[in-house]
Amino acid sequence: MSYFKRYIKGILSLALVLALVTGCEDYQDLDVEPVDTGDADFSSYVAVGNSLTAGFQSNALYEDAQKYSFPNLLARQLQIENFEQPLISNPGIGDPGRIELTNLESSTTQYNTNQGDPINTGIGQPYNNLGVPGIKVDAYLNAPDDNPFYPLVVNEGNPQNPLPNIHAAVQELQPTVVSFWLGNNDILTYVTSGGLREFTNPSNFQTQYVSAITQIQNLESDPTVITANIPSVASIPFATTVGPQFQAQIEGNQQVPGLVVQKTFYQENQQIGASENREPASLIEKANLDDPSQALVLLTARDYLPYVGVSANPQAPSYDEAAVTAILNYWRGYIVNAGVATEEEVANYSQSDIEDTLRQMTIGQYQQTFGAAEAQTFAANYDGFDFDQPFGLSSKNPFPNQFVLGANEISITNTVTGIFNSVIASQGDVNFDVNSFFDQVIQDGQYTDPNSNVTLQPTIGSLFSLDGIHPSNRAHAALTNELIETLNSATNGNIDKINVSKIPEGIPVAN
Amino acid sequence: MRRLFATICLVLLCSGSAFASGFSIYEASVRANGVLGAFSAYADDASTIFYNPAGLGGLEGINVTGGATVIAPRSTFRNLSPLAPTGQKTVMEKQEFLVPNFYGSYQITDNLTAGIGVNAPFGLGTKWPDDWVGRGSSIETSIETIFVTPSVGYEFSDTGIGNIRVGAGLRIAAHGKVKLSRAVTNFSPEGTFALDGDLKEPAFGFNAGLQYEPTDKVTFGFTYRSKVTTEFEGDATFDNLSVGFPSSAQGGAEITLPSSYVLAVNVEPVKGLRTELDYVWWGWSSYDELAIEFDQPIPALGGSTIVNERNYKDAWQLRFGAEYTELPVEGLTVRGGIAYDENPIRDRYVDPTLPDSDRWLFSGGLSYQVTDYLAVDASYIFIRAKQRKVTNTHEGGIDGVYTTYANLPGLGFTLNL
Repeated sequence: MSYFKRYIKGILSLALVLALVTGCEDYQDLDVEPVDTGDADFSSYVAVGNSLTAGFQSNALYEDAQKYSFPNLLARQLQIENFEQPLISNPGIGDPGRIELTNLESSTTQYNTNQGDPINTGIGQPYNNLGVPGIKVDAYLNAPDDNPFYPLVVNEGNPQNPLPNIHAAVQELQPTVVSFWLGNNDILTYVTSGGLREFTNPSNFQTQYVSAITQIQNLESDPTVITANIPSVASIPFATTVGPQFQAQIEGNQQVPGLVVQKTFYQENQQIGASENREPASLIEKANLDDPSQALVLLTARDYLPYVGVSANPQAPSYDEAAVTAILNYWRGYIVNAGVATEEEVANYSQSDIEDTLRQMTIGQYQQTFGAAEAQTFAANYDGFDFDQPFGLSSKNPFPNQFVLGANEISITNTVTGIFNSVIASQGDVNFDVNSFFDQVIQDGQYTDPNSNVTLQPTIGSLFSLDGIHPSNRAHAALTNELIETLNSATNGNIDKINVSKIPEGIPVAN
Repeated sequence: MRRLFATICLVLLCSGSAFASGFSIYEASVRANGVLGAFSAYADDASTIFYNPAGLGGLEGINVTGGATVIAPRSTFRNLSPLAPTGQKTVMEKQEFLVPNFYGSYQITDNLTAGIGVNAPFGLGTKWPDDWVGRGSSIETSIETIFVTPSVGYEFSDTGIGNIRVGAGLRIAAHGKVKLSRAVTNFSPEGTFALDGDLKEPAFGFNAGLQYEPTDKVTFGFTYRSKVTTEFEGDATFDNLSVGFPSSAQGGAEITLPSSYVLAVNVEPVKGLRTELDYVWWGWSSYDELAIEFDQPIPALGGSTIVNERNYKDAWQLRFGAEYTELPVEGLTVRGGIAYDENPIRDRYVDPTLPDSDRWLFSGGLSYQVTDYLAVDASYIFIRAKQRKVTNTHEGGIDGVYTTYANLPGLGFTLNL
């Protein structure tokens, strides 16, 4: 009997021990370790910026991309609850729409002109992500006119009733940390227009930037202000993708001496110590398309590069009716945009009508820039346009200006970016050096995620979305990690980084 | 004693898991459930075909037993990935699975008994909401198998050193289904990939066992079950995915169901009380990847195969059970059990298709002899898995915390003719 008792006791003790070992963890509460933000208080975060902050990708602002905006990812790593974003349903809002992949193998794309709707309205307070696509620095204190995104982003939950400026939203939120990433568009509009549109005057930039930062620093909440700078133009595939591709295509073809590009005229810009050429068209040598300091062929040139060498003369061996129609239509649009004729009028223009109009417009531009006397001399020696000459290979049938940045324009861009970046570096509590980050990526040829074996290339579809300008989902994660690194060293914190491989690529496709 | 009950109640109240570790199902008979499968050295009914075919050698006359176990797993997930707020909770959809079993044996000669068993030794079923944070890893997964096991057992009695029984059988995977679906998040809009496959053809393995009974109070058992390589084939669909995917395709996958062995000892310390301890080893390392092969190249995959690394490791279970027959109520037998079950999945590969973790199992059961021939059997198992936190999962995996428990009631009958 004592054997039996011992045995039963043994079994029961075993059961008891096992039960105790199993314990009784409270399954309702998850012990999430608090974030270590060091000396700083990052409990309430507001992101000020443009499309890069908004999570705009592939030429549109849409939910699937906004979810991976760097401010949203940073807020998650900071364990901030209710970081609100002005989400727009897919395929989002863009002009003319989101770029979508139509074929994986050939990487062909098209615009999806359907537009999305706001889906996170009525929250009764401003959004924490105040990234407004397209805005420049001055928009922080002065609401921009005609920006379709502004009323959607800068409101208290009702897009019909936008706030007077972005600062009003920031003031209402009283954050403890603000990221301020503006200034890109102050130079980018110049870049994306092939130098046709102006960049912000650097001294105005300084005034606007400093007053914006001062306003934020004067908030009662006394936030930590993170200022992010502007990456160089040579780091965006929008400017670096198609030039080298085209160069490779014409390599070894002795019939194609190089790309000839139409250029407009700039007076010497005293402010930045740079000047533009006075020639209406300049020969860009073949090899130069590979050299990002000599010529940057913009992504928008993609549709016209295949037509290079085409003649409008039906007798010429290089005649191509479809190409000629496309080229003439391009110039018709150019004339309409310049306000010289209406759409109806140019529709009936013959080839020689277009040639004559463009000649007159060029002489007119010259006069506007350098004065009537100089223009007269110029007009006497100027041959004008002749579409019978090979497209893009003759100064009489040049490749359109708006698709290429020439050496002077590149140098101007770099100078201006440098000035802007030195202003940015002098402002805020923490500087986020996005420029160096992208420089390093370009130098290494790739970004390697320290948390996984994922590598990202500075190309469209990898670090960049389909528009070649805006970062992809994973690039936003990489940027977030860089920002976290910057914050950790600035505040002695230890915020966890993101495993970039966990972020879905989310490439837009046409279904 | 009171403290013991209090503790057990507390444990039962606050805890839990689904199935056995990996996707094996050890609940192969209602009587065995009562002792948590600590049955390989005892095996006094026809379900011994599963637990140890050597046990057939001791069965007399005609023995039929059958029943079903309901498996009701419950899991929740708390997000630790950058894809959603930290701690965001998702509850796995509630599902109940009916796992049937049936065995029959016939004594051919004094020492030789043959039998056949039908049960489901492997299975899996998880279903998460369509829009949940881990949808890129899994939305729905299910694996069903039915095995048919014709077996024979032989008893060598009067050997001078006690009874020795041997047995062996064929394990035939006769029926099987796999179903899996998950979101494809690489694109916007997202799509869904699903595969709905059936077992292509019966797959074969074997089992073999040994029982040694040096005295009538002690029995040792050993069972070996071979691995069975199954091939599944069926329709693959790609919903809302027109760029880079075909509209439909045929897909196939090979799943190796692991081998296992059992070392068991059964002791009768006092009359009417049989206690048993079983050590079960599982060769899960054979499940290194789940490769789905399509009948055509799929541009978005850059090939015609999707490979999901699994890299399971071998695992073990320790099962203890007790049965008591000397009760005041005639014809009543009660059972109880406790077991520990080590999971085979490395942290890096834990995903919501099978939110596995080490677990404790607790059981109770009873049989009541209704007539001389017929007994009804009932069992109840409660499984509580340790909370599992995974923070460095493989690419495509999702980081977070899983908590799982399961209830497994069973009901069956046993006929002795």
